[in-house]
Amino acid sequence: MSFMLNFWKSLLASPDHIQVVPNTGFTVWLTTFTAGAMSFVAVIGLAFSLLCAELSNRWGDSLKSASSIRLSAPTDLLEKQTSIALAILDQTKGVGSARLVGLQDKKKLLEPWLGFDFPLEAIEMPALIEIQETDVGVDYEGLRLRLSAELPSATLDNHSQWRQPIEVFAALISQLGMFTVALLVLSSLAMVSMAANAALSANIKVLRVLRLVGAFDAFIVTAFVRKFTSRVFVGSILGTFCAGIVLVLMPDFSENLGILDEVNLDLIDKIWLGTVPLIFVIISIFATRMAVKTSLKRLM
Amino acid sequence: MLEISKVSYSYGGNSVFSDVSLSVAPGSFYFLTGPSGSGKTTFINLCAGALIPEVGNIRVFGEETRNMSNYELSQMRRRLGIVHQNCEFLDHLSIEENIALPLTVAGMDNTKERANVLELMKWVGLDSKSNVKPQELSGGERQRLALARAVIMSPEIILADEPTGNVDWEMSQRLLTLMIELNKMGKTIFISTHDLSLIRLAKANVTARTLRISDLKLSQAGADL
Repeated sequence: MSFMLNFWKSLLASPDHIQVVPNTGFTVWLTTFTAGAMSFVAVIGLAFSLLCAELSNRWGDSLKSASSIRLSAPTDLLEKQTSIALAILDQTKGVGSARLVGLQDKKKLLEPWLGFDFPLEAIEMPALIEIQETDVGVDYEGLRLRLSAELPSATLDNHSQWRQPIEVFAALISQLGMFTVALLVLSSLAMVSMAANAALSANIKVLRVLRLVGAFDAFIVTAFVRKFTSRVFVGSILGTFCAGIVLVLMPDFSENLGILDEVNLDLIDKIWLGTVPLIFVIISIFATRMAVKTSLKRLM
Repeated sequence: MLEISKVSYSYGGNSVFSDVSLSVAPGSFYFLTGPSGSGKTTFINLCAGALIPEVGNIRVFGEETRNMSNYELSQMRRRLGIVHQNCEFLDHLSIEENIALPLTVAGMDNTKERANVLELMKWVGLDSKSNVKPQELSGGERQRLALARAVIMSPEIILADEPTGNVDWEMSQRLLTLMIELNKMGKTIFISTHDLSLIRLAKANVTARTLRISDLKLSQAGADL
């Protein structure tokens, strides 16, 4: 307990701790580069994970409460059948809203395949009614039976065939993203530990001299932790900055991509990404402390 | 001050010495001699708490080294001045900073102690090289630097392991003179050496006892040295 107290006190105090660890050597670059590279990967990984989570939530939300009715009938009967279908839906419990998908919406929907200037009005198209459920939910079996009796040309699709696999897939992507972030944190811990160990091996003489002149373990640990953590922090800031630039330069999926419309990182996500250097500082303190203590034990 | 009681030590089953006892009084001057590989360095390391005896006890300033925590061992080392044959320094620091290192790690790096550093540099004849790095020094200068660093905290005991091993006779004499001066200030001096002429020279100037390690035993050397 007193060791921890002394450690934190000295971590924030005297600059003497810094000067006993040399500034030069390949280990400076090794530590800074490792922290930078791992931070870059962590920020990119975290950003994609957050985007995947948002995407999966959007998929889930949009599919959860949506269904449709397709009416295939000759043009002169189509309007009447549409009115009947809308009337049936109006009487059906659990239907929040029902809307006839207009020509412009259909054009927009088919634009990726047919192009924006395709004369859709020139061909016979089935009518499409989009249904939004309320929280109560719709009895699809009952609705299907009623439609088959009153409107044989209607086809009800509650997306159940592909809703469940997509929901499972979306959840899986989200979980994989989180797993990737966890793996990144662990591998960063390992990389920073390895860099700290390499740096310590190069500075083993410093440990011996400090022990010889009566330095307490807390002093030695703090000296190395402060030096390495400052290097890791600089590397991590650079890595995060570079990753931020890459994310800013990514193409914007803003229009006509359906489920990808407006999939962007919001403020909370950006704050999460901004915490990466801080996470690396914590990792560095933990890893360096362990490495120095192990080296000191070996010296004994 | 320094009590060694029935101490045995071995490396991987090869005994270095066994059942060794010694009591060192404050202000005394000891030489430890013996052939190469007889265990002189091991003996100094045991006294400094860098090694713990397998059997027996070593008490430094009344405390058993075996029972000391790392913190207590560091505290003990602040009261000991240790000089090794292959003296190591922090090469990125200047000579002045290296001499002041024990003060730095003890948090005593204030103006008053700084004055002691300058005085010590003058005493060991390195005052003109205060900003030079240790790797630019000769063997003799490195030994004097090690001695200055060892005494900056005004230790009660100075343990020197072959301090003249890498220097010429003239420099050996100079180092010995410094040790004798320290002893006259009341410091206990414990020097391991195989240089018998150095011991003879010391005995002409100070009351010094000579111990010899041979055949696993520690014995008082006679007047035949």
